[in-house]
Amino acid sequence: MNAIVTSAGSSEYRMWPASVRTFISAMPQCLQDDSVPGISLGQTAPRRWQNIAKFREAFNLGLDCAGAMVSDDALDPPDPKIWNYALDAVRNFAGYVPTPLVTPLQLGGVSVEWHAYGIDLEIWFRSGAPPFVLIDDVRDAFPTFQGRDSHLSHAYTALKHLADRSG
Amino acid sequence: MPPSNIDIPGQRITDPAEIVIRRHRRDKRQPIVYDQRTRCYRLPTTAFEPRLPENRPNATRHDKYLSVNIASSLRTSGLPSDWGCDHAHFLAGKVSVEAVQAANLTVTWEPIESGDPTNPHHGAINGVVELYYRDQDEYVTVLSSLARASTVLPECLPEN
Repeated sequence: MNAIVTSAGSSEYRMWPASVRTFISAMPQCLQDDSVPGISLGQTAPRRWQNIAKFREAFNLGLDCAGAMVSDDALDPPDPKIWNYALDAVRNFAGYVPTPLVTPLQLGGVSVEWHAYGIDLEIWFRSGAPPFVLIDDVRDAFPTFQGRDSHLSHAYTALKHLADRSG
Repeated sequence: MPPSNIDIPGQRITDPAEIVIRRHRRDKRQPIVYDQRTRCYRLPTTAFEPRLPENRPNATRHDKYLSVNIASSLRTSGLPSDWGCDHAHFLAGKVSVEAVQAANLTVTWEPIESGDPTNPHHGAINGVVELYYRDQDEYVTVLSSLARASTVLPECLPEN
């Protein structure tokens, strides 16, 4: 695994609490296990590694964007507990699905979303409540969903379809 | 220059054909959302989140409403739709007042007449902050509906 360097050198990064910097530093270890229980896609290992690298970069870009917004007083600082939870919740799909768009939310939260292969999936992670999930499949292979998804069962179904379609 | 038929700050804009422009901070390396139903680039849902006062007791800058620019006001003044949008750091997208009204929100003309910079074309989408405190699930759903109704201005797309 390559070390993450994207945020580490920025002035925003140095101003953030140690807990956020620890979270960023821990990300490579979080993404080393890329197995997805229950699906076997037969992808080659190099492709999975490439997907994982892009996945990690997406989270770093989200943090970079958050850093700039915090500097502009346009955003609350990212909450490492929420970002860690989000990363942990979707990391097993990192090798199998397209790169997500990761954008910061107010109150320290994070949105992880995919818009590809006919599937629109957004997962909003915020403290104090289960993730809010928005799912829309243009191909109508599975139902539209908007609501709290305590165990992310709806989100995982969409991610498995996304993995199948992009495989 | 106010929008047509509007001359009092705070006055509601009811013309459903009126367009408002919302800016969204992004890192240029991040992808732009491509709406697979409308086949247009659009703003992400997070672009419509206001700065909420919660958790920011010492913050002086939180939002009472979503800031936008009023397209007809820009046009009347001979300014482009993406006026004030630094393309290196921001996307700008347009949404019709009709879509805002469909989400049970309102648009008002709120010119910024003092401070630096002033903005006579400034408007507000009202009701989002109140909605967050009333029903957080409905809040996300409404923001999503605004995002899905939005279209990124062509000037902001990479080929321009």
